[in-house]
Amino acid sequence: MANELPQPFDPKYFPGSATEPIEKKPPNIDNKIVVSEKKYGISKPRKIVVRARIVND
Amino acid sequence: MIRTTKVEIKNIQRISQGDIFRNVDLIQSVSESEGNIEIHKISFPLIIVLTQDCDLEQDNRFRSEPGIPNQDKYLLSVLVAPLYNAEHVYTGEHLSELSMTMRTFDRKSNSVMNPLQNNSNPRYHYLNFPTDVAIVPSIIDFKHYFSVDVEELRRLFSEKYICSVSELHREDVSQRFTSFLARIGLP
Repeated sequence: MANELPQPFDPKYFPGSATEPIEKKPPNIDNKIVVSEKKYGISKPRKIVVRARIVND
Repeated sequence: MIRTTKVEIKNIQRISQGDIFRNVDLIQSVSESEGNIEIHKISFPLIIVLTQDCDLEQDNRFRSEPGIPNQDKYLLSVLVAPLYNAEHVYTGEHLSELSMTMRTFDRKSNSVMNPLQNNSNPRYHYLNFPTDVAIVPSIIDFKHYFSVDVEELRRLFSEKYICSVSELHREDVSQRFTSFLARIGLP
């Protein structure tokens, strides 16, 4: 009679348990997102003043 | 969905319409007094070339090919417009380093409802670059443009050139710019 009862870790009742082989899916290359470091356009326009003095030799 | 602007890296070293350069200066004034020289300028992180491409091609050909008897097709300057970081434009802070406060924009997530992203405001042009191009989403303000000496830009080409907006997209920029410039201000 006891054998007719479900076993505690019977995969039939506990799918995904340690007794069930884990299916490993390959990475989906088509959905790969290329992330680049956006290095241009981060800063704002800025004002610059250049001062120089003419020196006679 | 935001449209992505197609760009390319050119093999040839000549200035073209739609080229994007970095760190280009607008010289505001140069003064001299008693041996002291003072230069005021604005340094723009990014600019895009607006000059008509056939003019740029002729300018390059006349300067490069030997035996041309005159300088009839030489340009004096190249018309450019700054690219502003879109995030700064939304908050109106893109010219804060110049002590200027600009209007703000409501940032709607839906691009159809976003007047900047869908280019429904004729004053602005939104450029969303592909992920492999190292430029943040940017906006051109057609009220802001200036000229750069053509020989100076040719000299700095290899140092400052980043990429070029593809032909169809640059035509879109050019057409919208000229349309905005030629608008009639009715009272």
